[in-house]
Amino acid sequence: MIGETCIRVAGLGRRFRKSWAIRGVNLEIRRGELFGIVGPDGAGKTTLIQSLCAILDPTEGNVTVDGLDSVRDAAAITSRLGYMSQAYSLYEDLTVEENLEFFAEIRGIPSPLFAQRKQRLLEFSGLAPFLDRRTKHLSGGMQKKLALCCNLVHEPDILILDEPNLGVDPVSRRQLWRMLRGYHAQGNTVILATSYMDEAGQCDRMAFLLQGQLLACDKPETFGDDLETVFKAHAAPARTVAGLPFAARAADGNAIEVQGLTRRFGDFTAVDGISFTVKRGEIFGFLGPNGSGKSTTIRMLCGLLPPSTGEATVAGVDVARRPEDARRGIGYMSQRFSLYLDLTAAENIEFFGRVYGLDSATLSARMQWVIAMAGLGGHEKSLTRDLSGALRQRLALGCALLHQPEVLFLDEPTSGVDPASREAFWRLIRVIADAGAAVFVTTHYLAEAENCHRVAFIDRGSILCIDAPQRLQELHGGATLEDVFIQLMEHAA
Amino acid sequence: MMLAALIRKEAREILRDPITLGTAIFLPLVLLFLFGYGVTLDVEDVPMAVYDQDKSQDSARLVEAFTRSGYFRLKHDLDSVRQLGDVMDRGQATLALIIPHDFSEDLRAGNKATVQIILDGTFSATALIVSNYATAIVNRYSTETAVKALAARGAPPLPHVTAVSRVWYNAPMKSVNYIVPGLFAVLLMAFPPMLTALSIVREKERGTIEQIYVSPVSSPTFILGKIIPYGAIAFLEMLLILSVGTLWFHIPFQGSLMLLLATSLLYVLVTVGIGVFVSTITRTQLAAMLLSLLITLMPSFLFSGFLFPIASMPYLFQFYTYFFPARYFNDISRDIFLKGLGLEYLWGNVALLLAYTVILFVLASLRFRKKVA
Repeated sequence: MIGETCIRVAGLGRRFRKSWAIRGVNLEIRRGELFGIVGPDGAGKTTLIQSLCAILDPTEGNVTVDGLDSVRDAAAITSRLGYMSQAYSLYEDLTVEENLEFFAEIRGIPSPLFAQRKQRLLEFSGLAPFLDRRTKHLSGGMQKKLALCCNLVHEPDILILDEPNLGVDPVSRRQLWRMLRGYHAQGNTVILATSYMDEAGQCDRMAFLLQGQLLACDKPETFGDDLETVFKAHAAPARTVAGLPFAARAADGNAIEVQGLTRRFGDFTAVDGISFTVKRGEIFGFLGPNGSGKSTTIRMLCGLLPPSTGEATVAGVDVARRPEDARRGIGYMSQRFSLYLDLTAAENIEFFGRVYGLDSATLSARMQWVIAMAGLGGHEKSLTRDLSGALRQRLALGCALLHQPEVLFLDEPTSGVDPASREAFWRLIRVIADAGAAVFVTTHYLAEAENCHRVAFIDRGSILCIDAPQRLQELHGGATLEDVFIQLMEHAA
Repeated sequence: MMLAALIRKEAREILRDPITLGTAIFLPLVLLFLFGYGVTLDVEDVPMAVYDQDKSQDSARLVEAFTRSGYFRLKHDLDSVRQLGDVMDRGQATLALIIPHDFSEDLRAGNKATVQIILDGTFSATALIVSNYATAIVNRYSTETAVKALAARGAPPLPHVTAVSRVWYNAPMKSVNYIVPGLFAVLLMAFPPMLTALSIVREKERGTIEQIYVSPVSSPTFILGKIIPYGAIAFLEMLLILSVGTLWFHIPFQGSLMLLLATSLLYVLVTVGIGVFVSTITRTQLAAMLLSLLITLMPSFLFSGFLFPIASMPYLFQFYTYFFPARYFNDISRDIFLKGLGLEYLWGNVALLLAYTVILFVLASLRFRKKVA
């Protein structure tokens, strides 16, 4: 099935201002291949992908697709490939059907053919019931599926995807992957960047990028049995995490108590009477598909959104009645990292410290710690927008810890961060919990949720079960937490 | 048809976004009324103070000459110079008339009588007009008094000249007749370029534009796909403010409606084209908004002749105004509205607009490259 070379990358380098995003990359991708591109954050995956798609001109070297040059024949190249970018690629005010129709029309698909393909794609993706829904009202997973359908509607010979599974829940991720495999099985070339090693392991070949260089390109098997371990060994030296400068607190009692918490938006019940407790020093995972009520719950617990009914006590304070007081004891880090991109790293730390009313002496001591903890040494004066995702993530964590919160909320803190950095991040979380803080975390990477002391599964606003990951695997007979999750979700559906 | 698909997509987005529609339709109407009522350069009912030391029949007649002219309203009758200073300082009078105690005595003696006029010159343009009015009133009073005095003595009348003036194009000399036709040029420059630029930069920010880059849609097609729907909105806006402007404010319309509509269609292409051009040199919506305000709204207020006559600007600035197409359309619109001129007079400005459109299209098509960086 795998045929002749269809994409050839020769001595490719691309510079943005003074720094090279990628350099000296040589690569051949054959027709019909399922080709993975992996690498840590900032390795140059997106730059490579955009160069393949002929929407980014090389600074040196060249890219040819089917013998066409990416600079001279860009139009001819783009007409034969599909590209799903990492960014949102749908028109959010258009409905599912209108988006599909638009992408078919700009690709010049005649309408009878479109009608035929639309039918098949809708069935395939499970989007059929949502035909008239505006795209902005779809869950993250459904949006990704629709974006993929919008690319499949013109049946490109080559399909290129930039981290299609970022921020997608495991069930949707499995469906997306099934769609991709199906498309590949029809003889098409599929190229994708991914930070999921299980996906990389299923590719015919994978390219491993590191700091803009192509480290290796071969069959996944040749990298060893456990890709994740190989990746971590290559990617970043394991850093020792300095202990918290904060005095450890008594780790007794509950940090979070939730009783019958409910939030309705009009007719829609986002969170439906959930109850649970989180002890001090506990890492509590809150897992569920996109749109299941995770973020709504976090926002209520942080006092950002009043509950419709029910009670929530966080760090000993009733968040519904005294949200201002509750916030003093809370650290919050969102998936967007909430940093000021135009401030330097040190300025961000200073700003958040001042907001929480730290005096200068405390602030400077804690700033030292955050810089050491996040591995920011030498980057203190860099603008935050120039930092890699992993650095930003640790900086955001540091900023959330400055005021020594009793409870730390992390909303998809590792979204889009490579496996090695993710592991370093979890080591930090454990240190923080050991110091007596309660950590409440949501994530789509279920492998990392195994780091939690206990996890709760939530679906459509209700908690399905709460237990230690180990116990859940035994109870439901899954080898991993991901198996348990998918079982539970498919049961519920 | 790709172009049709692009236009349909754009139309759907616009119709579903109340902010875009509101900005395109509602805001121009608000501004039309604000300017139609608020901006007036007419001088009438000027507040006036009088310090009449003479308190005679003659002085009373002079004051009456002022108040009966319709331009002045007597607000303050003063008793001292100190009061005068106070009234002027507070801005309660724009003009003060001081009549000395020997005013009627001098007149009756056949001598030269003097009155003093004090003006608030803070806003010099108004002060100049008020000063001219006041001088004219005093002159007429003087002539009438002289003629009467001669007649009383039985002498033959003095030879004198009377100017009979007729005002063309805006006979009632109402500011609103001049403001509203100029406002079309300003309003069409204010919103359509910004909306167009935002709609393209929004696609850059969200990432949808990358899908356009990898599609067979060519740069000119994409640009047309923006210009046509936003041009249509802008033209709708023009029709709306044109009908409200003429019907509500009773602006006399002298020229050809077809000609005005045709030239405004051309002007709309320019304004939307500017928006496209702005979007090719900015990456964020904030930058696009600021830049489009800076190069469209501001100059169209200041350098189009909308409020400040170009002829009275320094030479260098007169030249500078040619960079801003609002200037051409401002001329065209007023010439058609007030003077009823035809293409034989307007072709120069029309040609400039046309040239501007072509240059913008070429520039935007060249600058809009289907590359992310």
